[in-house]
Amino acid sequence: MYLQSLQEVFGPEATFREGQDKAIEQLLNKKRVLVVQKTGWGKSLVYFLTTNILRSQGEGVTLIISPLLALTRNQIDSTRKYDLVADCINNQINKTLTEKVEVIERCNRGECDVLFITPEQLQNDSFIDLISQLRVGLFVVDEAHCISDWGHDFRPDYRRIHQLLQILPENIPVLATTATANDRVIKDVTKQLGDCEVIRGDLQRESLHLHKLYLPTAEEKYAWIAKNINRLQGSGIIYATTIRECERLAMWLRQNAVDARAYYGRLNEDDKIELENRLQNNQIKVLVSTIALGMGYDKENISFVIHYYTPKSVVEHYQQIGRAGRGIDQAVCVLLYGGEDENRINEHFIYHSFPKQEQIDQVLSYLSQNDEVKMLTLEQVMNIKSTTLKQILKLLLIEGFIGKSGASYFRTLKPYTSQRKYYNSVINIKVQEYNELLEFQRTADCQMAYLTKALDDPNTRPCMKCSTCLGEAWDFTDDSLSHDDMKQVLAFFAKNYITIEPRRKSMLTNKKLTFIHEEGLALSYYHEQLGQQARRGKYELNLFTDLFVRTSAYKLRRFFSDKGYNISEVIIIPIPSNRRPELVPRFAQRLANTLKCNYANILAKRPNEPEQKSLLNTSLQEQSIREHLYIKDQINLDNHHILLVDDFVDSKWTFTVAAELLGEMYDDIKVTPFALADTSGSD
Amino acid sequence: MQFTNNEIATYLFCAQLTQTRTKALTILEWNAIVKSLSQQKLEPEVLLTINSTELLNVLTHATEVQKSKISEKIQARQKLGFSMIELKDIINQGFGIMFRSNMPPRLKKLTTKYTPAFFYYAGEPSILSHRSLGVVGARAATEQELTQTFDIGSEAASYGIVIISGGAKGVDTTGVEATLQNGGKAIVFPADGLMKWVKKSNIRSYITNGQLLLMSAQRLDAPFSGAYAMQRNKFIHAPSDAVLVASSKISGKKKSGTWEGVLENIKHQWSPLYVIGCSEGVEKLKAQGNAELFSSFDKVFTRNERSEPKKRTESNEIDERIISLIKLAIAKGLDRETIEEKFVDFSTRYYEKQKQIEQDNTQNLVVHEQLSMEEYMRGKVD
Repeated sequence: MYLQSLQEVFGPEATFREGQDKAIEQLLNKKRVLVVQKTGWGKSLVYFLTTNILRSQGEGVTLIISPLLALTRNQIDSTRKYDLVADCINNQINKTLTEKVEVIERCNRGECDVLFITPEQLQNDSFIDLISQLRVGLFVVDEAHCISDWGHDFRPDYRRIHQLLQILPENIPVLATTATANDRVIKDVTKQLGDCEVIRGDLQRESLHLHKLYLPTAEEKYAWIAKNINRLQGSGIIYATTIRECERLAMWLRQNAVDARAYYGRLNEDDKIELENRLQNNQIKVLVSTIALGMGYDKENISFVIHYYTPKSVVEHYQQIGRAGRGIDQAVCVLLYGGEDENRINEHFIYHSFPKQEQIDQVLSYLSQNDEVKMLTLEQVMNIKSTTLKQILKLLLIEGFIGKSGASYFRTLKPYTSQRKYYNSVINIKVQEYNELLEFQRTADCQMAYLTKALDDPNTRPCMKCSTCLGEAWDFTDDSLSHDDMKQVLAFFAKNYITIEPRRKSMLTNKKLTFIHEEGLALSYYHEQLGQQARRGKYELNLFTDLFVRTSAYKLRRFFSDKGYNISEVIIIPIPSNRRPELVPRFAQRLANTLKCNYANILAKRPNEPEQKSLLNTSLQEQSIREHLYIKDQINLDNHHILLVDDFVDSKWTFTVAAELLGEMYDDIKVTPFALADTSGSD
Repeated sequence: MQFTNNEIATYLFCAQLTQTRTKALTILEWNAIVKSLSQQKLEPEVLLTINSTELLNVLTHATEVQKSKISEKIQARQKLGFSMIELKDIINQGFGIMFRSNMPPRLKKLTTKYTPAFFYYAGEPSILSHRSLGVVGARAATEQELTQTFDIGSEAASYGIVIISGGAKGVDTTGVEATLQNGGKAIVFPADGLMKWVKKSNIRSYITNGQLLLMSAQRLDAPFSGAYAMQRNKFIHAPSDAVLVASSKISGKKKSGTWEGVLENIKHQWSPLYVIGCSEGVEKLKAQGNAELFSSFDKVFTRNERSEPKKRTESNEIDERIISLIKLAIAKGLDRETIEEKFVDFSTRYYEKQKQIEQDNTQNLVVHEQLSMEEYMRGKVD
């Protein structure tokens, strides 16, 4: 009977793929259905055709929770084919509440049949109020593997869907779909759905050509990417871990005349949309992205995905390579792996996925003893890193142990039971899944077969397309790296600036600072070789060797001339320390001699300052610096350019406060900070 | 806490859910639905799927006006399932929902006419099963009235008597705080939503200690409402074993909440009234013989247990009849062993049969969860 509906849309020859009609039938009977099928199987056919039938019966709209950032042209086209009108609510398209209200009203007036929303909307109380007004005929959860508690990534937004499924009345049918789930995840998702039908097919993607390559250093990876990027046709994505890495890699590619741009969560929404659109229209060759460009991105013709880092699980890897080769017959996916850093960083993330119990207890006990507490107060009374504090609050909120009204938090009545056991079991599973991926790096089997087998696909078979299956015949990439290839990378690394962006607001008062320093410079990253030498210089030798004076002087000269400043007119002022009173001033003095510029040791610190790195959040750090740092000698520095010199930079509060002190004291000055190593994010 | 489909339907149609911009069923409309459904052996969950024609046919116990209103309201909310995330959040934060089927006998004194489809609560609901003294009175009571209220509240703690109040300033708060500070228990029906209350650290600790139960028929974040303040007077007077009126004006042009509650109690004969002090209302109650002076807990609460001696006479009567049966058996020539055996045998068989009947009944009760209140009240109301 649904065949007729199908043929009305697709013509008299159309037939269902196996499982599609069954799914539709169950949904029309108000049942719950889980569809596990690879990209391209036709999951959207199931929900659009069901919507079509439900709407003709006078039912409400179909609500689709999907991480898709915007409706793609493809989707709008397909809804039109079904004679449906689609709309969406997410933070990019309709930011204001009024805009969202309009969408909901359109739906309830019958002017819209399908509403797409992004999962993070569900965290927002005013959106929950809005969606409470929506007459819903069918509820669809896309990328449903995320609702598993044991999913590859802890996504609080999806936790909310889990709660919703527990209470949603049975008169609203639910369809959950995913292309990536192993047995364990399927079991967990079906448990959450309750009584449901599972429709599952094989996962092998015919268009993907997989390749993996052991390249243990950053330099080798950079060289390989520069060499191969133009061999790969079309445009694509490179996945990297950190924002800095994305930016540096994109810069390297641009230097090699490749149109590359960095993409990450912290970019503003307009920039993100622009980058997505440009990739969409093949106007750029490659986006170098963190996982922020994730499930939500559904470009039809991505021709390659390169992993600059190893993903944390097979599920994550399959997800990310799954972006490639959707609307095209052929795409190349390369995993570049190896290096000491890589395992260390991945394991760090896995073992630190959840906050420490002592810190959770600390937050709970403070909230228990108080009525309502502002976020700002929490930061000030608690020595907890602010990202960790936010994570703790989010976890406690979702579990219902605390509540939130406006910017204040309060303890609820729910008795606290430690979630440690659950956290540990999640960590154990993550370790196991990571090991599965490390195994993938080593495997001599077909790469696609390895992945689908790990995803418990019963129809696993050799793909005859990956570099393992093809062996010598693999020619999508050239993996040999010459001495010359490497030399260029080394030169690039030597010239590359690690900048120090100024802070603009005080965390204590939330007001703009009275004086803001210029963009500054760090000589190295702490975890890199030079950074580690700086660590030994500070903690073991109590001396920074001539190497540091030379390389610093070299970089600073270039940095200043790039900015159009004359370095010899600069006055160097060292950041004082009561713990190591001579270390930084001596280095700064030598640096001043080399650069032939002036030197003035005029800053000092009051005694008994706690070590900056023992203060875990930015409020406490700012407060401590403000209490201890002062100008001890009054000399006239009006109209001068000051170079502040310190050993390490992390929270930037020392530079920020020092610059502000100087700016308040002297007229028309410029302040540029310089540190030997950037330790931020290195814990 | 997992909910049955009946409970989900009850909440969806009876909760305020102001965010949905639709109207909830009133108590009377809900009663009409429950009565109609029960007659046709249907349960509230059918409301989730029933269409309007079917619904109008089902509603045999509703007036014509009610029928159209009910139908409108059910249609408006039937597909608003997403609004139920509210219920999930409420439970997730440690609040409870008490549907009619879970309400203890004490609350059933209210009769269905006044009983909301559910209460929100925070705390240990078993506090409702203790003997209790309602405490009502003006916000602006005199120093002396407050001192006396405080003493009574403190003393209640040592008698194991629970204080029930409306949580307003003045008398209500004084009585409750006195008993809580002395380790006693209290039930408060505030005139505003419960959320504001549990944000307070000291309130939370009384609740966690099992001393305090907060109950409300209003949504959790409801602001103070005069109308609800009046409605909730019933929740204090009806379940209490006795009510202390510590201070009251008499309603004139401006209605006095305390006084209106007292009048309702007198009309429905919910619980005996006791007074202290010499406020306007208190004097009138005494003069008309509607209330006695509060003298002591011993007096107030033995008075309420008049039923005890009756039981004793009943049991004397049974003893005598058993003795006469034994005499009869001896006269018929039965020996002691046979008489004892027969006794055990008969009582065992009797209780087994009783148990069977009870089991059947409970099953019925489970099936008709939402309707049990209706059955319970059948013949007693209207």
